[in-house]
Amino acid sequence: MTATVFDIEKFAVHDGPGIRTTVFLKGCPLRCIWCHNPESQRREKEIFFSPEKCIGCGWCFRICPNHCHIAGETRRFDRTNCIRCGKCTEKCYAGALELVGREMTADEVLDEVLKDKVFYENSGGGLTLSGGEPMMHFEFLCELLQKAKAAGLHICIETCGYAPWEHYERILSCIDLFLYDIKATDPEKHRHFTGVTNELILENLRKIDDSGGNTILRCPLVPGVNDDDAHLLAVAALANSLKNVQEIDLEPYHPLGVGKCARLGIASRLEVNEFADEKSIEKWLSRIRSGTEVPVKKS
Amino acid sequence: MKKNEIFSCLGEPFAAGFFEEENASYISRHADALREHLDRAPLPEYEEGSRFYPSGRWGIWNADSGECVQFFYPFSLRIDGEALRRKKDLLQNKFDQRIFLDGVEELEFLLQSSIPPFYAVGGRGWTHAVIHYERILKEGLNGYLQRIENARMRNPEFYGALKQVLEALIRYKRRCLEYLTACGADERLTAALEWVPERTPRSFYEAFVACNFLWYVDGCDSSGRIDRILNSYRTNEPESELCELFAAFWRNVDLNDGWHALFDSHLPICKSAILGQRGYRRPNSGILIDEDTPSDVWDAVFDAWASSNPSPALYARRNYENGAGTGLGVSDEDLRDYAFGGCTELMVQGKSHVVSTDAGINLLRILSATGIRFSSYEEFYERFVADVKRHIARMIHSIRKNAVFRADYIPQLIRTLFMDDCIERGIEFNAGGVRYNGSVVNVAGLNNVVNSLVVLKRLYSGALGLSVEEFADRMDRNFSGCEALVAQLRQLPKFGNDNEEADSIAEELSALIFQYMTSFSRKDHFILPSIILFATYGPLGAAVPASPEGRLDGMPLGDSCGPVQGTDLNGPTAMLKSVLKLDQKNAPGTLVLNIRLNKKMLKDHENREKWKALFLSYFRMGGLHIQPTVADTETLKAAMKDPASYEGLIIRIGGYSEYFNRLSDDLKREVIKREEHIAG
Ligand code: SF4
Ligand code: SF4
Repeated sequence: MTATVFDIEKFAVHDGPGIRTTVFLKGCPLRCIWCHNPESQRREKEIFFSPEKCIGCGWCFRICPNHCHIAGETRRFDRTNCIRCGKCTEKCYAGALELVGREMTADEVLDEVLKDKVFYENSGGGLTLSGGEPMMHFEFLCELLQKAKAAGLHICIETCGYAPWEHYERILSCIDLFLYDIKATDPEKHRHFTGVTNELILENLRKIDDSGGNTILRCPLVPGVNDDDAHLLAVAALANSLKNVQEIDLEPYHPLGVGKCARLGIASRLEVNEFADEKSIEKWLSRIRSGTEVPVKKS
Repeated sequence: MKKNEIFSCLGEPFAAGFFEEENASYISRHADALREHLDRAPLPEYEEGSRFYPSGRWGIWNADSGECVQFFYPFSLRIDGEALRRKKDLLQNKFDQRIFLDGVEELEFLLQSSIPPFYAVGGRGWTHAVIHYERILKEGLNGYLQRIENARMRNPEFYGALKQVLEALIRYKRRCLEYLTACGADERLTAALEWVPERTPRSFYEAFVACNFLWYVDGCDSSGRIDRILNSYRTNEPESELCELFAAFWRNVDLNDGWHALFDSHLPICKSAILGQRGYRRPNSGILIDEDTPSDVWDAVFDAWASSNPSPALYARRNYENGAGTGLGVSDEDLRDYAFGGCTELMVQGKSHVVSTDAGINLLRILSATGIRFSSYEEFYERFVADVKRHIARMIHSIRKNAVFRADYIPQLIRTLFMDDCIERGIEFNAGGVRYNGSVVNVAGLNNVVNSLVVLKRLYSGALGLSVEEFADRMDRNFSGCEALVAQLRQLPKFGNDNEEADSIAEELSALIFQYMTSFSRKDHFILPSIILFATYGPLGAAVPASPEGRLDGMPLGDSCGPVQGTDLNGPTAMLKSVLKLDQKNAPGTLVLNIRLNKKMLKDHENREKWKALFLSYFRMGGLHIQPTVADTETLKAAMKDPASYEGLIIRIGGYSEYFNRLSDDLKREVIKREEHIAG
């Protein structure tokens, strides 16, 4: 069983306790307008193209079976006929063309993750599965989780909550901590921002909580977009209504997704180029803290 | 005029002393030189309000007086040859001028080195040491005088010379005292200097005043385990007083380009030493760390780093105590006194003469001389290894030859006085009088060579799609017009990323080199391999043409034992695991490892715990040393101008991290802006 992995990050220190390795799987059922990892949305491999890095060596023109690379005054990459075979990326030593995503078996992923086992043991860290949405690769996930548990790893999963309950139920015993995204508390707004409503998401969260699953609620916040008081207070209320929430983490918006959209050749849906400012972040923190005893942090 | 009179009237008391009795032994002549300087050279100025004397830029041997020949700890003297020769014109008489130039020639003769420039890798017979502060404080200079007196009859010339120097030092101090009283210096300071360093200090402050004075006497080198030594004189001084004194001392160290100091994380006083170093680049301090290091000390270290000062560096106490002693042949009792001199060269304070760094090999330069036009990788590798061994043997031969010259011509009497067991044994410092003698030898370019070998293996197996001849041609042309090839090379496995292919080459090669070096160790002269490149990796690279890993002609070598700059793409855990593959236990000299930290990641407790776990894991697995560098706004700006040198620079935002280079310029500017904001 394989999955499309688009990154494995060592010494990932923001994805759960201790020193961790985060495995990013490609594919997501949501389409958040502020997505900072647009390359994680589609399940299939994609091509990053950064024209400023092109040294004009000409390899890609010669090698592409579908003549997608066009020379001339302005060097162009026409993706219409691109089958994402990756032939051009293999030859582009300048790094202007990069293949995003590679198929890996659960064993291959685990081997890479276990390289840092000694660091997990000394820090209380472990493996974090992220994406995209790791639940999209469910069979693969089950196999990896089982093997990682057998290897004694502490496991976190970062999930948007949008998957059948039966799936969560099946992996529950393997997960030490859920990093659970709360993108909007109002169902309509949720649909507007992400493409789906949040009923299933909240229902899954409650069931996980009822079954004793530990969670950290993670809230991406974009100034002027989803940071209204009603939402902030609703997040606090949501945490209060659950038994096993360890923490609420705020994830202030950053515009790194914008450049990535350009490299993927897709349009960015949120052209906000500034980082969330410290003032807003302070306001968010104090607003949520006013409504709950659960610790609130900026990640 | 006689030679010594000529030098004397030209304002050169040190040289005048040296020429006083030209037919005397060199030990006596150096003693005369030191004595003359101490009796005649002007005193350094007292800085208003200072708690120490001397303080500031001018010290005992380099008072601001235009003296061109001075005592200098590594080579016993130094000469400003140009300025000295200019003094000739002050002499009216042609005959005097000739005598003067003869003298200059003899002085310059003393500074020759038998070490060929090829082996000047981080040093060419340079010597750092830590004098025996602990014993000097305990016995006082008076105690030393007594010991010399007791032994005198055994060797009147040797002990006579030492006595002469020591008495001159005591006279010098009295001169200082008169001056300080006359200029109305801080009374606490004059009261302390009335007592020390002739006698045992009666308070912490007196001990510190004595250490400062002695540090200037030694010529502003390394201060070793100074926190531990001072700690034994502590009574109930408030922390603020400790910090103030440390800050004043570190300022002196900084202004004089002083060297290493090693703190003990189990002594609360170390926090004051760390805090006192805020804003001072020197000493290049370190701290001994283990599992039981208290968390408030960790916090003091992280606070220091977060203030953009990458001191102190971390040293694995247990690994030095368990392993390093074997290389030094040090007794268990003396092992408690290990410290570092210079950059980070291992030595036993007060008891060892470790020429550091004595010499070394530039591995990449050797590879470039070996060449790559062979019929197979095996043939190439065999030849390369033979070349490396030949150079190591020659390098070590040359440092031993140099040691003989040093013993004959440039006795170092200050260290003969203040390092055990010179007085007891009646043998001079450079002649092997101390308890432990050795050399730290350096290896440059190991990481470059490992990366080159990865390439060469592929080249010979045909995997690069080029013949050996074609590749060699391109390399000889400095890869010009071969941008795609260089880019291709860049993508091959690199050392420092937990990559089996590169790391296994490093494992084999480092063991081979370090063990071959240590095979030259003798009971009376041990060899301590190291990778200590401070600022030399630039000039060392300038001497090497384009190399197989895709490095261009003259580009710098790797700056530490870790990945070459710009090739650490897999994060710190991977890097540490790779470095552990190096034969660390045979290179306690030390293997310097640079690790870049993000300032933001040093701020909160949770992240600090992660760094702590990372470092302790490394030490548990046998790592010796970690040298942090903190990526601040300046670094980011530099990275923006010169991306190729900053490939591995990572920025961290929220739950996401990215290589700085992958951002668009606009975003980079945004990140820099943001970085400043957070740093502020
Ligand atoms: S292979 Fe890469 S560098 Fe070469 S022309 Fe194509 S995009 Fe440019
Ligand atoms: S991925 Fe394949 S089809 Fe697409 S541009 Fe590259 S070579 Fe052509």
